[in-house]
Amino acid sequence: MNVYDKYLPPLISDYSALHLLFFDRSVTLILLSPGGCNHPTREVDEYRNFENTKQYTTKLNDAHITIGIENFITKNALENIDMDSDFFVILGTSITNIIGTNLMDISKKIERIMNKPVLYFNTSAFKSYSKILSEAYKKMYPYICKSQNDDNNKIKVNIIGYNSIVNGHEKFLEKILELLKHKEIELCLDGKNNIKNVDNKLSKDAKISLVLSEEGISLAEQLEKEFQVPYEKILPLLTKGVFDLYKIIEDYCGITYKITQQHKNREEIIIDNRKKILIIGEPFFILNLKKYLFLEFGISQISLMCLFKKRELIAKFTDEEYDQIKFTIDEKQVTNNLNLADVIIADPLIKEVFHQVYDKFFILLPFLGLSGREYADINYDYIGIEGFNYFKKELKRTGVVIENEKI
Amino acid sequence: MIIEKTVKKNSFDELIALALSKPNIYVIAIGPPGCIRVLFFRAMRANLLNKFFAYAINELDVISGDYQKKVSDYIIKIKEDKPEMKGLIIYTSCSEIITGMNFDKVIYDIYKRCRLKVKIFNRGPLAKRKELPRKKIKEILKEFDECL
Repeated sequence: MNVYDKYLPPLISDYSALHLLFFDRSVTLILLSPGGCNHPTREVDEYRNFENTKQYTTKLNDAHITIGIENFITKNALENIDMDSDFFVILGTSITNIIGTNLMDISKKIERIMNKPVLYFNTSAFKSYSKILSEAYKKMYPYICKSQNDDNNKIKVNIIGYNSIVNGHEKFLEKILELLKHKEIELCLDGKNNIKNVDNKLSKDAKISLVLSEEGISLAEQLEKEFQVPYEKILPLLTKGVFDLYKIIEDYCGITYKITQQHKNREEIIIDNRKKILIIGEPFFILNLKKYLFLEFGISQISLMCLFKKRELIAKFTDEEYDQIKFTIDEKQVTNNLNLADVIIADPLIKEVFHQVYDKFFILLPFLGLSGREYADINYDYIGIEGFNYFKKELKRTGVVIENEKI
Repeated sequence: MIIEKTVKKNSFDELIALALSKPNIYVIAIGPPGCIRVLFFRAMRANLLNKFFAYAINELDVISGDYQKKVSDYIIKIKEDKPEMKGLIIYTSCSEIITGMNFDKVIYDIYKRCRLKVKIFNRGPLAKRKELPRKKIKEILKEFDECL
């Protein structure tokens, strides 16, 4: 058996992932469904409030399915839809997948009726989030970039690919933006429109694009190809991650960040490297966490496990990075790895469903792609000094940090 | 065609809680992964995860329309793991309804192999209902009475 048959829910599906991605963008989204397909998004995956979004679901019946949905897309059917958006998004479900609905035809029809650009995605509920997010970042590129050069003199820095599935609660993006505040810098986001004091469109004149997830790379590559904006993948974990983030911007933009005391280098601390740590989660995130737990605390006994099949991912990891991660969904392999670890860093759902971890030290790290909104609001951190303090406290509790007078 | 605004909802866990309310009666949800995900969390929120199983079908299963054997084998494995299980409700999804998936063979095969009684509950908006889902679940549970 595999772990998804017996222990865990399937990962967040393709169309639910796109609901989350377009949640806070200027997008009108229509899910082609008999009506119930939005339940995973409404009940499980989205932790924010839908009230102000422009997300809709059809209520397809037998006639729509037999005759063809295309024939029912009329001006009347669309009359109550909020048009105040930059573009429309049409999503398929398992039903449209099975009956072979031509989403391109439907999107062209909507485009004609609404006089707005329409993007469509052949989502189906059979696949998980990673590939479709990457496709979506690439497809929405024309609508989330500024069409003209900027008229102010600030240096532009693009922030691309932050999404709650990989990066967690939105508060972490706000923290990153707060850390990057600089009088000479203008931060430009990939269409997210609910964040104050930043530009919500990407700049073609940016000195650098910072990419915060693997899925965002497709968009950064597009900007690099067309406007020669270079990009760097970075997740500013703990304090060393924030240092690295500052260093990248300083190198590309020729500015200097005033580093506060709390972000200065720390002296080495003594840790118990006999304890075996297992981190389970999203590959990009856990690779970075392993790196910064080593750089910050000197912890070397860390193994990584992803409960996906490699082919589900778009990740363009190097061979060296891939070799660090055990990709498996096999029940025996997963439980063996859990048994071998002294300390497990993973989503709280892992603790909930695997009895093998009951006697292990457990450090909570929600992965919304697995557990949705269930644990999105728990008290944890991974960025800057608060992230450092969270892990320091947890590692001390687990006995990995055995002496910390110097910090 | 009706198009409705999508709004946030709390969990609809009453139905799965009802289906799992009888001792030794278990539930297995069958359907595309994206459809059965929500049922896992409903069962979890009702503290009934130990009696809930899921079988995710893939696109190839739908095309071939022939996954009864795989479902049967999977249920037999569950029965081996949970010998106390006396009855099982198969929650189907729209995919099974639209492809006309016939579970009679599964019900027969399971009963023949391990004497486990299996009932079908067609869920989702495409299920043709003459009665409310809650009433249907109650009827199914009543039918299990004789094997408890």
